[in-house]
Formats: sequence, C-alpha cells, structure tokens
Amino acid sequence: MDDHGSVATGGGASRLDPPVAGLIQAPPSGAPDYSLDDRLLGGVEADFDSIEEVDAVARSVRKKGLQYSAVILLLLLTVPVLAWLGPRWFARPVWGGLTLNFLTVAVLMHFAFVAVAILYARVANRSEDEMLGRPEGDG
Amino acid sequence: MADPRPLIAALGLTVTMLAVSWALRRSTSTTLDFYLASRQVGPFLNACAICGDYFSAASFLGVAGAVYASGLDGVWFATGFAAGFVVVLLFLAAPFRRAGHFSIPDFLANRFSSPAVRLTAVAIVQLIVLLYLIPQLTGAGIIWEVFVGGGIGGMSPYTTGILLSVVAIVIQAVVGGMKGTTWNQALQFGLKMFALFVITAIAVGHGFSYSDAAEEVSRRPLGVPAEVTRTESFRSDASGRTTLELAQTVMSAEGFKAAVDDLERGASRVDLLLPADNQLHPRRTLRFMEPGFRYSLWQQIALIVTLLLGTAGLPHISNRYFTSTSGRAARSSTVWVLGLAGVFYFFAVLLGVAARADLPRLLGAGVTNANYVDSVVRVPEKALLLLTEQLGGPSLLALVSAAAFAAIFSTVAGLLLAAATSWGHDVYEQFINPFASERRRIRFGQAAVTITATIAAAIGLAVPNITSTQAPSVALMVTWAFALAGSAFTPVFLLGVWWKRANSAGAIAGMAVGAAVSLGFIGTELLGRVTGWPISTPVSNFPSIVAAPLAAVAVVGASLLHGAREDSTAWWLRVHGTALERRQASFVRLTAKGGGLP
Repeated sequence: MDDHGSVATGGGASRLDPPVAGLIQAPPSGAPDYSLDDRLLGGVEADFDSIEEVDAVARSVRKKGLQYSAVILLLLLTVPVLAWLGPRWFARPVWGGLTLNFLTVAVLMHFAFVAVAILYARVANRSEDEMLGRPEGDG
Repeated sequence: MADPRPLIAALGLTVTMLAVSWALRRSTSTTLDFYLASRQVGPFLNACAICGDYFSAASFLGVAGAVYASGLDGVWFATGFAAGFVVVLLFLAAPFRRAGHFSIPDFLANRFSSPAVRLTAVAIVQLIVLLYLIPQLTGAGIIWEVFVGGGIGGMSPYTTGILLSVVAIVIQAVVGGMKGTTWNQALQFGLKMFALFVITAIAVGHGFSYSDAAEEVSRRPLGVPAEVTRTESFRSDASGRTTLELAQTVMSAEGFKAAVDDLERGASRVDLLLPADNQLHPRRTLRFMEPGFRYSLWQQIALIVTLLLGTAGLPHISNRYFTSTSGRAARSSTVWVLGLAGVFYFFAVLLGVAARADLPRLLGAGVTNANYVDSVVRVPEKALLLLTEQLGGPSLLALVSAAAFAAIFSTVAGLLLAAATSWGHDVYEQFINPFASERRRIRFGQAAVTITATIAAAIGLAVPNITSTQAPSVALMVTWAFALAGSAFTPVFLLGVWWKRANSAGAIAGMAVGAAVSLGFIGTELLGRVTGWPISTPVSNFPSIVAAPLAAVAVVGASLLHGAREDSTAWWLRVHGTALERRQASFVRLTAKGGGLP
C-alpha cells in the first residue's frame, strides 16, 4: 500500500489476465510477479481505491448481503414451520392435486432465488460503481 | 449385453469429450492455463460449466428418485441444492474471483498469511473431494451395470464402469486442463438438460399432466416397498391392525391379491407396500404432496442449513469462480446458475412426480418383479430410468445413459482438478519445489489428477466388498460432503472475507472444529449403520446446523484470544475494491483503440 492508502494490486498469485498478459513481457525469472499488473496498467497512480472507500463499500455490500440472506432464510424456514403448524398449508390443493406447499418448494422458491439474485447483483454492482473509482483524469 | 445402444451412447459421449480436450490441448502451457483456464471463462459459459460440475448423478438421478420415493420431502433436496448458490452470490462469488488465487487453500493462505492455514485447508479439501468422488465412481459402476450390463476383459460390469470412467476422465482433465474441462462440463450440462426435457416432452405426449398427476398420486397414502416375513405379515401394530391390513390401505387390489396368494401358497417372505410413517405429524396418514416422509421439523431445518452452507465450501465449485474474468462476471455467472438450476430442478422434480403417477398406468397395476413391488419402484434412484424405458424404450434409455455418464464425468473432472490444484499449487509449488519450472509444475498437476483418481477408483472398487444392506446411498454420501464443506470452510470464508479481525488462529480453529464436529456426527451415523448401535442422532446426516455455528464461534473466539492483528489490508483492498478490474478494463479499451502501454 502506498502513502495514499491505495492498493498495490497484486498478491502471490496475481497474474495478469489474458489477453492483456499476452501483450506484456514476463517478469525476469524468479522475480515476484505481483507488480506485473501495475507495470502494465500504469502503476498505482492511474486508478486506485483508498482504504476508506473500500471499507465503506465492504460495509455497504455486506449489509445488503445480510439483508437479502435474511429474506431468503426467512422464506426457506417459513415453509417447514407452516407445514409443522397445520394441514391448511400442505393439504389443500390449489391446482389439480398440487398443494401450495409443494408448489412453493418445487417452483416458487426458485423464482424467489432468481429475483433476489438479480436484485442483489444490480445493487452490489451499483454500490461499487458509485462508491469506488474516479472520473478519468482524476487519478 | 441386452442392447448395444446405451453403450454406443456412452462411447459417443466419451469420444466427444476427448475430442474437445484434444482440441483445447494447447491451453495448458502454464499453470494458470491448466488450473484456471487463464481466468478467461465468460459468465454464461462458466454458469453452464458450474451447472455441469454441480449437477452430479445425485442431482440427475437422485433428485427425481428422492421425489419419487418421498414426495414433498424429496423436493427439498432440489431446492436446497439451488439455494446454496444464493449464499455464494451474496457473500463469496465476487471476492473469490477478485482475490485472484488458485484454490481454496491458496485463497485462505493469502487471506491469513499462514502456511499452516494452507496445509489445514489442503487436508480438508482432500477429504471433501474423496467423500464426493467415491459415490460418483460407485455411481459410474452402477450405471454401467444397469445400462450396459457387460464387463470387458473378464471384469465385472461394475468394475468395468469405474475403470473406464476413470481412464476417460483422467485423459480429459490431463489433456484439456481447466479450459477443456470447462467446455466439457458445459456440454455435459446441456446434454443433461436436453435429456430431462426430452423425457418430459415424451411423458406429456403420453398424457402426463402435472396437476392431474399430483391429484392421482395423492389419492392413496404414500406406500413404501418392503419385504416382510410370513410371521411379520400377520403381526399386529399398536392400533391392532396386522401388517397385511396396513398393506391393503396402500396397495392396488391386484397387487394385494397377488401377495395374499403368495402367502396362501406357503411363501416364507412376501413383498408388500406399507404406509409410510409420518415424521412431522405422526397421527396423520402421509400422502405424496405432504411433508413428513423423511424429516421432523428440526431435521427439515437441519437439511436446509446443511445444503445452504455446503455449496459455498465445495472446492470444485469455488475453483470455477477463480476462472471468471472479473468479480462482476462471477456474480453474473451465479445469477445464471440460479436460473439454470431452477429449470433443471423443475424438470427433475416433475419427472419424479411423473414416475410415481405414470409407471403404474404404463405397467398396469400390481406388477411385482426385480424392479417393482405392486408397480412401485424398489430402488428410487432407478425411477427415472424405468420411466424412461417405459416411455421411449432402448433409444431413449441410450440418451439417458449418456446423460447419466455426463453427470458423473463432469463432476468427477471438476473434483479431480480441485484436488490436483491443491496438491500441485498448494503443496508442491509452495513447500516442495517453489522454484520448479512451469513445465514441471504442470506435470505434477497432471500426476496429481491421476493419483487422486486412482485412489478414488480403488475405494470405489472396494465399496461392494465392504458394505452391506446398511450402506449409505450415493445421495447420502454426497450430502456428507456438503456437510463437511459447509461446516469446515463456509464459516471461515464468510468471516475471513467480511470480518477484518479474523486471523490465522481463528481460521485454523474454525476449520478444525467444523471438520471434527461434522465428521463426528457422520461417524455416529456410519457406525450406527454398520453395528446397529443406536448412536445416530437426528442431525447426524445434516450436522452443519450444529457444526457450522460451532466453527464460527471457534473462528471468532480464537481470533480474539490470539490477539495479534495480522495486516490483511492489501488483501482486503483487492477483494473488496475494484481498482484492478477498472484498470484492466481501461487497458483493454486503450489497446483496442490502438494505444500502447501507458
């Protein structure tokens, strides 16, 4: 990390991803390769995340993750609890012989998973867009 | 060998698989290529590959079988398997990719800057892979027995199935590496989905209607095949009704009459259908659309928690996230996975219902033979196969045989690569020969694939000799792998990624407690089955509900007690920031415009 708290992007295993990698000379044999990304991409001055920004986005994304997981957990646990409470939930057919309990577990739950997934992915991506990064030239 | 078509289909699949790997053989020149397909797998392709990897024989044949046998309680396997990806998406998909590591042990070792964490994780990865591999290979032997029926070179069909599968998968993984495996898994997923769709379409063509079938199967109490002795058949239960009288409430008139005729002719044993016990509402007669066949309320919740947490800790699934192009692409892949899983499991569940409703109609009432008791399938995992046979004959069965092998091949290939990555990257490259050439590293990875496959095959071949009628089913052993993964890894991932104060002491304590508690519970189940001792507990098959919270407490407790704050700022910035991805995107834009390096 430099004085500004920006990340020296890299780590033990951070190789530059092709097709970018193919355009760049490999580091000398035996040298650590963590600086490859930075050499390629203009160094840490080009664009960086400060620790304060990343902390803020991590808190925000974690909070959303917990909220969405609470919704899913509630949905998942409500079904067996309703089934335990009584036959009005699991024994009354709503379409042919299909009961609401069966339809919920076999079909509706999957719609809920996909809906939560799409919403969360959008919200998390938007948070990162809004809270991280700078306009070009504001390095 | 009864019919050559299933064998031809299986061989066709194998040849296609090897051709794909051969075509992509040049994509294994570096360890990044061999283990991670150069991190260039797009979201949809990765989603299909994840589905190929994830939907093993337990999903393809097991879910339909579980629904067939137990109705609503069986559907929970499908829902739980899918729900696990919600946890992955919400907390781990993007961090897994952004960390930029090779494997689960690599991910944890870099987070906690600890070789001890790496080695602990390697040991747990190997245990999970073995727990998952053995039932897959056992499944390969069983499927060969069922579909092909003959052995090669004097070997039994079971042995032939295991050995040929292992050889084909090892060649595929060694030659094509992760890129070849990715394309193969995606194609194999397509084949599985296509097979389910075709069987459904043919069932509908034969008059299947979901709502009518549900009504049909709910008319009678849910019946379970059972072989009872002559004495037992006349024994009364607490309500004063004999076993035969109970059987009469669930059997067809034809089936019941045949059983009574057998007894009158002096048979010492007879096959009956008996009403299932209701675990949720013990006084209520259980029907197909109602809960309670398998689980009480707490067991139901334990199953949900185990499947919910297990997916995130499976090494062959997390490895696929390391191949994504970016954190955002990893999220997109998971959204696709949830959509594809919803469709896949919709068909799998539907076919379980179809088998229950339509087999008696297609066979006629009262059929009892090696496969059926009163037209109810004896071994639930065969329900989809027997339905297929009745609907479309050998040609359709050939398609399903190819899909069933695809389910095994894709999962086993993913598991072998996960094991090889942890041996090759985490043990060989980190501890044994850190200065090995790239060529030597790849050779070691290829050897690791071969050795792991050989060990799993040896255990798979020994399974018929060491087990008895109390042996755990394929699906149950897979659930144990979920339980171990969800208990030992998932709490450490979640706290490691989202709690800065987690440290190496906490990680080691969490993994050790999670693994020990979950394996302890699984051990009570296994020992109880083998010895008959009543030591199994209600959560022995789904121990994550106990083990995962204990592991989380261990992570927090040991991290706080250990005191030392390990500096993980760089890792934290990398995993939760997007600077590298933005800079890579800028660079790609720049080079696309014809600009040079900055």
